[in-house]
Amino acid sequence: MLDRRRALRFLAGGAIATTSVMFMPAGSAIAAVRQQGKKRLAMVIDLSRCNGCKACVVSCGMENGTKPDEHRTQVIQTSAEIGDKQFAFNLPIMCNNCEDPSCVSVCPTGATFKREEDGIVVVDSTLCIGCNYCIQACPYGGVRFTNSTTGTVDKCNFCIQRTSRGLLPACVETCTGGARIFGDINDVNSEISKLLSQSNPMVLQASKQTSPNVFYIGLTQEESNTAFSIHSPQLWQR
Amino acid sequence: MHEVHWGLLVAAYLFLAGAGAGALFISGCLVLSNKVQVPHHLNTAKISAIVGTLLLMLGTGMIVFDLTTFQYGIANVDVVKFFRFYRLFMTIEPSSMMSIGTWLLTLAIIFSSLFCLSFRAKADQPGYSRPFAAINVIFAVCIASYTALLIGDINHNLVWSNSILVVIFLLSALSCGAAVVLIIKTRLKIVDVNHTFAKSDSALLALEVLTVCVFAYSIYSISIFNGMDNLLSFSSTAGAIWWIGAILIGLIMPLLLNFTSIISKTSVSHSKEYLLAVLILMGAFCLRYSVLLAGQYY
Repeated sequence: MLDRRRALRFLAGGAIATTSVMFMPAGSAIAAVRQQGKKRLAMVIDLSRCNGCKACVVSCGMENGTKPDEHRTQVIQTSAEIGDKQFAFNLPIMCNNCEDPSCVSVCPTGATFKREEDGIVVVDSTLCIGCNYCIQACPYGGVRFTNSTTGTVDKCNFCIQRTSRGLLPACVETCTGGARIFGDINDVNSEISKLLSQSNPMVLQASKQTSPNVFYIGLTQEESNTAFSIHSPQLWQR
Repeated sequence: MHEVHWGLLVAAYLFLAGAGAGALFISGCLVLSNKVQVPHHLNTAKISAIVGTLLLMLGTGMIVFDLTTFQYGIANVDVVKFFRFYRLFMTIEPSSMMSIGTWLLTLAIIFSSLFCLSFRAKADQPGYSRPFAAINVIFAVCIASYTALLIGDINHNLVWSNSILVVIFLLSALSCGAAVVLIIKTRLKIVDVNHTFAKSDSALLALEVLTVCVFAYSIYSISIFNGMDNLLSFSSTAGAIWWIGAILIGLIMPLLLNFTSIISKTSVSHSKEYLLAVLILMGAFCLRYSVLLAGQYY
């Protein structure tokens, strides 16, 4: 029979296990990706270095030819409470190019797919019919949008036209604070790999089980579980 | 700011597909239960099958109109984008509920058309339609469920992933089908002498009231648990359409109309029958539209 002490121990163990699944830090997600051994392009965003200049937003628009009100990436100004104090911070948001993306399986034409060679989630605009099913399936609000120039769904693909040639994405290239770090997380010698092993990165909404490939340094557990959206209200505007 | 990617056209798609499936279900049941040996039932079954097929076709048209490539094709006179929807029929993606639905609807339209033709080919032998009636009944249940599963497949969505939505949409599709059949019966001047229709419709609507109450309460609980305002609160657009359109107009008022005719033991006038059918159909549309809006909260 279970005595009270053992029962409490069981309960505590169960609670810890449940919490660790619900609020999974990025570490286990990274380990899962590394086990596969393939090239996996990812981005780390160091929030302590983001000054909210939005150079990334502008350069992304210029590189990918999107209209001024259509953004593949955006920096939202939001706040967090730590203890009894409120802090404001900049939060760059974009497609997480997830390891287990919920947008890929729902696509009825196969237009959205994950590239085997580098893990980038791509929308083929020649196959996309614009049903918006992927937009609904993505738990990260606003990272996908309808491109008014093509009439199809558009999103961040880590500037595939640049990264396929060994260049950095436009937002990483122009980041004035050096907040965005990009590279292959399976290459142990890469800057991103070293940074991920040194710091304690978080991913947005880990409970959605999509294993994002965009990691954040400086984000608390509570903030990482918040459902931020590109359309979240801005606290201030440049 | 909340972005609504699925609006009126998708709601119309869900509604028309549901109503069409409901009409085909009742038509199929009339054939399978041999009631078609009575001439006015045969006419009802025949016209219900035709109307149900047309509604399915119209519903499918609505989802095509909603495609952004289709709208882009019209706005920019781009023929390639206009006809891009053909891609839906070039692939079978078992993981995508929309792809499954595309093929399900295509097959349902083919078989419902054959069902309609079977009435014409052997008008004097209704038994000839039985195999098609059985297939159509199965397809009708699949389509009515699919309209809920299409949105329910998005499992992180607090509103759409609610399992009871399948039951609600199924019941709603049946009551819509009954409303379509009622309009047809009224046009054919068939009188519901034993209040059979009123009684069965009341039972269906009462069951629907029960399920929507469970749904509304679960959405309230889920919203509170996730630290949000009630996603079906009366102050929101979705909530207002839900409580006024779906519940009051679509369920309470038709129930009261049915009850008054049963209690007073008088046959309902044709104008009241039309009103009853229109209220049910309006409510069913509002139900789907409000659920769609409530689910797009992020």
